[in-house]
Amino acid sequence: MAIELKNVTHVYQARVEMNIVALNNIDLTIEDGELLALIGHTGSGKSTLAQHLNGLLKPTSGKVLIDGEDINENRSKYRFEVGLVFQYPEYQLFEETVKKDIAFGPKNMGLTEDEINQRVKSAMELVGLNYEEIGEKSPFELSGGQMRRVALAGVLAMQPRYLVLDEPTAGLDPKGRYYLLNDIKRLHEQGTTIVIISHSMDDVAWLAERIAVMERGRIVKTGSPKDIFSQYSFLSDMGLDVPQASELSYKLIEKGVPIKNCFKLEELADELQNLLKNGGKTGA
Amino acid sequence: MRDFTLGQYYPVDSVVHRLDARSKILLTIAYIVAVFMAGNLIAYIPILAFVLLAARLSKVPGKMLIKGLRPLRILLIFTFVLNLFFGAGEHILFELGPLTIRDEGLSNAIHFTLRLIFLVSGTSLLTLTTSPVVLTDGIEMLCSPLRRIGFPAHEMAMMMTIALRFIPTLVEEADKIMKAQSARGADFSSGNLKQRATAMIPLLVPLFISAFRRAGDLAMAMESRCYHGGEGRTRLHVLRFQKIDFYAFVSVTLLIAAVVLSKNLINLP
Repeated sequence: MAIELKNVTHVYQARVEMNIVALNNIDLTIEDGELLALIGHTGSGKSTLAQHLNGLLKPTSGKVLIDGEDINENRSKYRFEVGLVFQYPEYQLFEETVKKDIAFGPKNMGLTEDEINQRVKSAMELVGLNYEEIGEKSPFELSGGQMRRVALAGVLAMQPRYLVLDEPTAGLDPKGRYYLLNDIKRLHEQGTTIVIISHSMDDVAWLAERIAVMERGRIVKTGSPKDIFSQYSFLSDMGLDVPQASELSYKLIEKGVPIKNCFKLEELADELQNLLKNGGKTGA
Repeated sequence: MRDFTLGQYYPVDSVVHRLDARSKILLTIAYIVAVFMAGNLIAYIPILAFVLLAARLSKVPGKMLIKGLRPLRILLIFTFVLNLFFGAGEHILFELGPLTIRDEGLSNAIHFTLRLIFLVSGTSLLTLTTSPVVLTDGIEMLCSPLRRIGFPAHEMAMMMTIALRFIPTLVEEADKIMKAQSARGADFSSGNLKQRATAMIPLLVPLFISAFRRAGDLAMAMESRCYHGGEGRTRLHVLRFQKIDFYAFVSVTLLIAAVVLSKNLINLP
């Protein structure tokens, strides 16, 4: 039970006689229940890859399989299996009320009225929006962070098994970002398989179980966050940052402070606390 | 959606590309006049020569010019057939049941079809060799004498420039919204007319909202850079007539002369 990409190549025509290879022979398996982060420089093909996961884009060659079945054979079925949340999804809101907008997906699935209402309610709960309070409001009255959560709820209401998020926290204030990341974490704990695309290494460090690094349409490396974030020079070659915690621990290690390399803030805080307790000697 | 381009500017460096936009507009107008003046088939020879020469000099591949005619093919066939069978004239050249071809009908059919082909291919050379921004600059300068009688030349040109500038942006935006709604199961391509129209709402509402938002942002950005209309405004790229513009005017004068001569000297249908 997984999404498998097999030799997926995607070529598109930018102009007449100008072909761009957006994805170059991608092999990737997204295991059920995992939380995978895709990182890479702008234009490395992350978003193109995301759009292959629910059949919005067709591979020029290669296959995308879900549970062993080619999704391009039966696209309408898999469209609802894989929820895709685009960048700045609040720009897709269009209905008069929040409820109606969230109901758009379930309605397209052909569900009954009761089932739709049920799903709208639970989707709003999942993203921490009050059904009674804002369900009847126009989505355009809400704050940016709330609008984004409405858009997320609109995808969640389809109850997809897989959720793909493209830059979910871009442009949000710290509070909005914190709420959204918590929502994602909660969803994952409830069993949804999640693929997240992000430029924010702090988000990735906080959430991801596995990271795939993309460059020029290829996946150049996959590994655990610990693995990837300890390769400082590799990441900077890719034009990528490291999480704040990694950066700080690097700098401390460089100065001769005896700590482990950490990529999570909590971990680094513990490490430093231990160090202070032991009077400057390593706790590890 | 993504393949949609307007004006289809073909960016290469050529003599025609370097011509002053104002000359190109005036030349195109003169060329249109010449096409309409062509009184007989001989007159199309200098016109054909002129288009071929211009196309050759512009380095625009012939394929692109012919591609520009493709959307017109139904109109062309329609024009030809309609004129051919329903034309007037004294001599009947061909008769088959209710269908008759008369001499004047035949010559009209050929005339109108050629006229359309030459009009479209000649004028599309203008848009192929002039970037939309330069083109509107040219229009603005040509219209600026009309400012005296209150015609807002600069404002019109600015509106055109902005509209042209935002077409690709909005196309991209529409593409994105369409994908986002498709991800929620929206279906834009099936159903009857009413269903399809309703299916456009999830696309159009966000598109309008974003267009308004962009317009607001742009107005703010322009004002914060002290934009206050056309008065006293100087330009980064000043249009100047050069020698090649002179040659171009000479060539189009020759074209008109040739067309007029062929009309008066040679008596052919």
